[in-house]
Amino acid sequence: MLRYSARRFVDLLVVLFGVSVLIFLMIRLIPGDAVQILLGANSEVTPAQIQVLRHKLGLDLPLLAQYSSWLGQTLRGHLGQSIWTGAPVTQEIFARLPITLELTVFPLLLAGLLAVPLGVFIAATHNSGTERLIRFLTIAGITTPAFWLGTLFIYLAFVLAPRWVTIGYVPFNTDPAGHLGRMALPVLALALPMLASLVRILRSSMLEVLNQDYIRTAQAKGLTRATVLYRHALRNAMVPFVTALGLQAGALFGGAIVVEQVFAIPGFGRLIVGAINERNYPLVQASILVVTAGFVLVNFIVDLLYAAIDPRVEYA
Amino acid sequence: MTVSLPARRSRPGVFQRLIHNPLGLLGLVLTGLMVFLAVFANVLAPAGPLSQDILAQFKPPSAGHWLGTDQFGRDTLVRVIYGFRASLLVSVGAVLIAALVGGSLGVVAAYLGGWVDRVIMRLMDILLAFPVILLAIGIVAVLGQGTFNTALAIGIVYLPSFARLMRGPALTLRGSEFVSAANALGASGRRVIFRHIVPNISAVLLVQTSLALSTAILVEASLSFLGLGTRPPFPSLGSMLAESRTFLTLQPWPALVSGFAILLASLGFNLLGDSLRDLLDPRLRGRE
Repeated sequence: MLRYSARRFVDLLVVLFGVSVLIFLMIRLIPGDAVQILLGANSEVTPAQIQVLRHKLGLDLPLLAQYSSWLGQTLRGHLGQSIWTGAPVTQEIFARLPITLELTVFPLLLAGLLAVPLGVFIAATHNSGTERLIRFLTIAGITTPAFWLGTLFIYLAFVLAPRWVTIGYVPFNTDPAGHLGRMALPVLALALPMLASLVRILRSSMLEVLNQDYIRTAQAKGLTRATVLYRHALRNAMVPFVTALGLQAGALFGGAIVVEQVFAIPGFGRLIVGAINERNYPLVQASILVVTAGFVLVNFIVDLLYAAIDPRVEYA
Repeated sequence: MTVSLPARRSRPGVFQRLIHNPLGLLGLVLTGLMVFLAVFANVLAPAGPLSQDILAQFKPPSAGHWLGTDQFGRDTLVRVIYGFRASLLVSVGAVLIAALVGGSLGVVAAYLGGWVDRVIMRLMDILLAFPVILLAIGIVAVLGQGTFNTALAIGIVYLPSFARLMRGPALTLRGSEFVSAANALGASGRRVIFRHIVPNISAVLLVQTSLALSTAILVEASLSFLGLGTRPPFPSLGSMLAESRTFLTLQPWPALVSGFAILLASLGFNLLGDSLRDLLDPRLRGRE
């Protein structure tokens, strides 16, 4: 366990280092002179202003020196300042992040909770007649764009319940009912495609487990079908399922960025898209860094929890 | 010198078996239809997606405009057809980049081994650490928008999956007897890779290409929807959905149809890839 953790920790550091290098290089890889492009919107740019901004961004130093000073700042939590307002970018990022995380966590929970009974049921009633239909439905679900589903929901709500305010955002603290009413449709739009994908994963790992000898033994002992399915099969089928849950969280976050736009929710998506349109590169850089590092850490912790629970993982 | 191998039985039968499988057939029909619409858009709708008819704003579906018109009196069906073209162009370009570059990286890593292998695969791990959409957004932010840049951004996102896909079988093949034989006969590294290793992985590659196209279409649509993909008025399906969302309650057709078209495009490639996987890869048969 200790050796496994140590090895995974080294992996983690390497990946984080690589991620930081790529994100650091972002602003430096912009074709042409980044500073010129940044100041492009202003009509009267003096060479002095260019020098000032270049110095402010640290672009006048050798690359290695730039990276080490940038990394040092980053590790101390200074992720840079907005080019336009001069405010620390962390402020804005952490103001918006909780909204998008809400749109990641709730759909994941909803889809995860529904996927377990559904996946087990589908695997248990497995036969060649329904096989094709299930396969079609899960694939269709996976390929449904959540942002289209959200648009469809808004239209349906408009037709069926015209008084329901479906778009916009109010904080939970000021108006709990209004908050939940506005979050319901985006959560559902994100959860349904995720549900299809999770059901598919659980179904196939259940079918694999159900073919194994110990399941036949359990059935032969005369255990009830429910006991065999839930106590014996599901436990082992959960391993790939929970791993998928961790990996899908990143995909769901990406989906939430897009779905936010549909429902006019001022979350992380609007922040980063706005930052790109304003060429506010320090904000773009820091946003991607915070979220990616967050997901890398979450998946690292999930991996370690696994090794703690399942001794077989260590030998994998 | 040529070595005659026993003819592969599965090859001639794949297409026949594919069209006898309802889901495979559906995938084939959907993708075929899409490619047809994309290729013959000019012939089918010579007026083009930008032709406006100010007198025919927000018309419901009719004989003249099968799916109605939008805020500028532009025909929704015509715009969807051109939307397929824009979406497919970017997605196919992206997957080609990913398959060629990513696949080569995987084969080279496996074939050369050692530190080259470690460096390449580490790089791929690092790319995989980013949430897909966020990585694509970041790359577009650097490169700027446009058809080629969007394709390149999505292509980079999919490098790791192709590199990993090709590395495994290439590694197995590297140790196999017929590759050793080719080496012993003095074949160059490049010849071994392209003449002996790549053809043996082509089935897996075909499946992965189809499945990657399915998700690339969704990523392209997301980027365009955010206004970071192909630029309006050139109507990619995602930007069309974003644009027509503003008058959703007045005229729902353009928004709903363009989104449904994204679904159909992605669904077609996924069904095709999934069915091909069943047919071509006996090890995976019965699994998913």
